[in-house]
Amino acid sequence: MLLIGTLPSPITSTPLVLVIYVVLILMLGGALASVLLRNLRYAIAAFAGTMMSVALLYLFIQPYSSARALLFGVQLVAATAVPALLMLGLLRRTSGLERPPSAPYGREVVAASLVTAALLALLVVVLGMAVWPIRIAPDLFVGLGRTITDAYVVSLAVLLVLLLSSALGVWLLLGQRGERRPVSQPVTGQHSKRRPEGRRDA
Amino acid sequence: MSVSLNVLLVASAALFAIGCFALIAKRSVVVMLMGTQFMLTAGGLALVAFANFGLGTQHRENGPALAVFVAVIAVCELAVGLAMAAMIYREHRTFLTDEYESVGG
Repeated sequence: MLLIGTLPSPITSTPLVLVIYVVLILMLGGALASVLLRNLRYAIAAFAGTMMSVALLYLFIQPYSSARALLFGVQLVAATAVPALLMLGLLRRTSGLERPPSAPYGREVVAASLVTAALLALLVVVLGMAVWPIRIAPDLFVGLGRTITDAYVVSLAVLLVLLLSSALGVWLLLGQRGERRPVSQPVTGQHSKRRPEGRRDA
Repeated sequence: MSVSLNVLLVASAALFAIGCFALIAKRSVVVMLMGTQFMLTAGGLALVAFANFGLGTQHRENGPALAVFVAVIAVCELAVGLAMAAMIYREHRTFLTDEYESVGG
């Protein structure tokens, strides 16, 4: 297929390039941290940071596209907040979040608050630079939103079916009462003492 | 110093590789599911990069549209995977895959 026209030129504005490289480094560092950290809570936090970096990247690398607002929003909600909440919910249902992590104003809480405040400040700076809230409505329904609803009607319907099926599957799986595996009987006779069940950590 | 298609594709490939590493080398189901999320996100990032700097610029909205679909499908996959992990946890009391003797029905 022939390309009509010329390729768009790369981004050369120095501040924007620096910001993009910083976001790329944050994205890859967060991904590595979420894979390598042993504590699942920290891994989930790093995962959320990585996905938020990808959302910021979508905002920065298409400065003149009308698609960026919707893509940024979808990435922030569907790929950052919902997965992080799902994983935290899983830990809450199973093992990880029964104990409070630390004192109310312990080091972990202070560090998490600082990181959250820094990310929110970065988000505010981005929104301020892009004058995004003013143009959000036309961006959503003229550009990418119209493309999705006009050109990808069947895909959108399939996507809705997928969402409903996965919701139904999750409901069925979580509602199912699984049978516990029988605990192995002690081999020796009446003098044997049962070991207390140790709780294996995830 | 500039940001072009190559830079974004290298970043996308690195993210995909990290996801692949998590899926293959890690033992925790939750980390493996994070790896699949990274792999799908890397695909979406490559789509957006091609739409902005590559051959997709004639139809600039199509790459981001596919990235939106990928993000939503990734959430569906994660939800089902986490529900399965919760169900397996009920039986085995761990998220570590090498301690599962059998996960069949």
